[in-house]
Amino acid sequence: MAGLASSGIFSSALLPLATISNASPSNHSRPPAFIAARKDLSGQFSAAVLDDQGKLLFSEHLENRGHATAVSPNNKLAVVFARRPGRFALVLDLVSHNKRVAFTPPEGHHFFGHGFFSTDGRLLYASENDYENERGVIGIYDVTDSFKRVSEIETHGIGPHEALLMSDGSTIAVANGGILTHPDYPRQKLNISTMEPSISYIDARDGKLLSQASLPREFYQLSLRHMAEAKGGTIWIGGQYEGSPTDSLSLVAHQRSGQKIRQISDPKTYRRMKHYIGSVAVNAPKTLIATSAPRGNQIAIWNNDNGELVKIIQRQDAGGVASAGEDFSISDGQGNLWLGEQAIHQDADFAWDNHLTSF
Amino acid sequence: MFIASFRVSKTKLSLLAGMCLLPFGAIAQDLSQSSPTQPNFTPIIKQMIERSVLPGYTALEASALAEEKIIQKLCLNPTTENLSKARQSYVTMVSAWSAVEIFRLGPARKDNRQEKLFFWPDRKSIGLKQVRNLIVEEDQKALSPEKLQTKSVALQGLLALEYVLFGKGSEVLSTGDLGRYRCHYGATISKTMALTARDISEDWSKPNGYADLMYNAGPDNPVYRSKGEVMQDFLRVASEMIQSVRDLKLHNSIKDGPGKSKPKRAPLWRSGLTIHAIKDNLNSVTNLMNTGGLGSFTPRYAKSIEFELEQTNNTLTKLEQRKEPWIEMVKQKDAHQILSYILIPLEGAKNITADLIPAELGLSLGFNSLDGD
Repeated sequence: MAGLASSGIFSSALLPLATISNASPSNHSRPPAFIAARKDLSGQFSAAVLDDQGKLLFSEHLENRGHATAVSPNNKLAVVFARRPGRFALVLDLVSHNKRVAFTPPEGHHFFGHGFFSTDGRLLYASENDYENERGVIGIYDVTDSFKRVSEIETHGIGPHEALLMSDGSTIAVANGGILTHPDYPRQKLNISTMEPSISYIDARDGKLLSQASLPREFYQLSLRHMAEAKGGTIWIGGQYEGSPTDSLSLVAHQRSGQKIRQISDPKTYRRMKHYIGSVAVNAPKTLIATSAPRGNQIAIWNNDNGELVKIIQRQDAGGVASAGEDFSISDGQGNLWLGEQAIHQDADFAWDNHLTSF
Repeated sequence: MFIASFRVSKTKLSLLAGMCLLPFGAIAQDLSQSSPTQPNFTPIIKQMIERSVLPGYTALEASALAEEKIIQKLCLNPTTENLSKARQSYVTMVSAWSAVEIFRLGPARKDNRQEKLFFWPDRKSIGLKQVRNLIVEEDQKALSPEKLQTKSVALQGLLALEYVLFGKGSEVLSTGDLGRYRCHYGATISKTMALTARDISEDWSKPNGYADLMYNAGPDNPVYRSKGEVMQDFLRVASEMIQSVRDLKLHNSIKDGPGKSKPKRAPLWRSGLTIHAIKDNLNSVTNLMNTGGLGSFTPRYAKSIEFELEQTNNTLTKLEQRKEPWIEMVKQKDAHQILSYILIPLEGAKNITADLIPAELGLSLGFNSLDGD
């Protein structure tokens, strides 16, 4: 946490984002409700912002493929992260419908595609690969100072992917996927035989590791990558398996507060999911969890109270899941944005990328 | 020769650009059930397994057992001539491995077998350090194939054996007692590789093995819900083999100029077999397309791939004939330029296997299914 304490950021009171424009692009437009990265037919990448009825409000070109998005607590800013091993983060102004600024991690780092804001909206946290040192970190950026990097904290694992700030406002949960990569060998997995995926719980105030959870050793090749927090502080995690395709195992795990991490449901539940969970989301009351399995064309809905499967929804090539009140919205690779059984946005000229954020 | 190849590749790239204008919904199909419009893939799946996969692993096992015997002779009679024979036999082993490296699926992914046979890339030389330490410490457990199989993947494969036979200090192998441990370790690696190759073969061919899994693709199959998905897997590994050669082995080594090149990033530079192995990697793609029959539903594309890869290999043969060490060759302007040209037909061949053939056969993967994150 070098530099963070001295920056005085943690002791500062909550400040408004003074530079944000209050001008609305149209008096008639509804507020933004969804954001996701996408690809068009010519291979160009962009981030698109839609309202709650699925109407496109604006989009911004991305220099390369995007991944997930962090939205500020006041819903005025969104940061779209590059997909690994990309190095760009693009800040969108959700009020004026424009891009604000782009920034990069330091030399020797790349983004892993996920991040989140602090509860006061003044800091942005991004999962990163310190690839020369083969170390996972969370970079910390000052929102009030043009996203200047102010510090970093270790994730105590390799390949941190999704990270979130838990509802207590001070605990960071981060999924260390365990897979070593380096830009010299783009997207090549360098340590499949020695993976050590884990979930780290870190105190955001001082960067100290509070606890760390791992699955039993026999599941060392289940890369823990995406997560969401449900009621009672239960963390739900979706994994991607790197072992033999004939192995049968549970791909979703959860960890209740003070308990061990455990995989849920019988491996047969995951039979058609091809060892791959793409996204994890929780609904607004935090009682249901959605896990997407785009390779199996399935979305599983889970009950947080009893940990049981509620239902499986069939959706072709659907990666993105996000809260939609009591229910979930789903995005797919054919340009559809689904709310329940209804496609509220359809544009076959675009493929929605892996993740969907609602707010 | 390369100009001709480049022209063909440009044509392919424009074809690819045209294909990209299809709506995403049109190319991302649900393959959970066989489509009535798809050809009957079953005979070709059988042909690929019987003519490409299984003979490949049988040859690897045989070459590893042959190498074990030759190294054992070297251990008994450590002479320059016997060391030379062991090194020569290693060339056959490299060829055999390079022909099956493509099959990173099913049984090769069980128990880290692919990594056990070929631990690469070893970016921080962690594996190399393990091999060096093992030789210095003379760990007796590493002289039993069964025990070596349980040790680090870096200690039991082709590149560990390369260091034993060609690495620093390997000359002791021809000088008696000093090289005794190293020699026996080399023989044990060979035997261990033979066992791993046999394990893979057996998992393919045993009753209810991986071949049966592919033949019986269907809704209740744990891995393949349709024959189309089996075809997708073979097309994927073909495409990944070309991409690995192009991006990881070649481009990552030669970089954007002789001065910027990092030749030691390519595998097998110690034995001088970098180009030799790459040629066999590319031959394995052609073999899968022609002998295996993967290209039989799309003969036009199969011909194009054959042409691109043949042109590439002809050029690589000319470079190989210069008999210069890879690490020196890459630093030379003319050789670097030729290697740079090779990237173009390889890109064309990769696009055909990754995009054009799947599109023509209705086997394109959805955007979120393809190379996820």
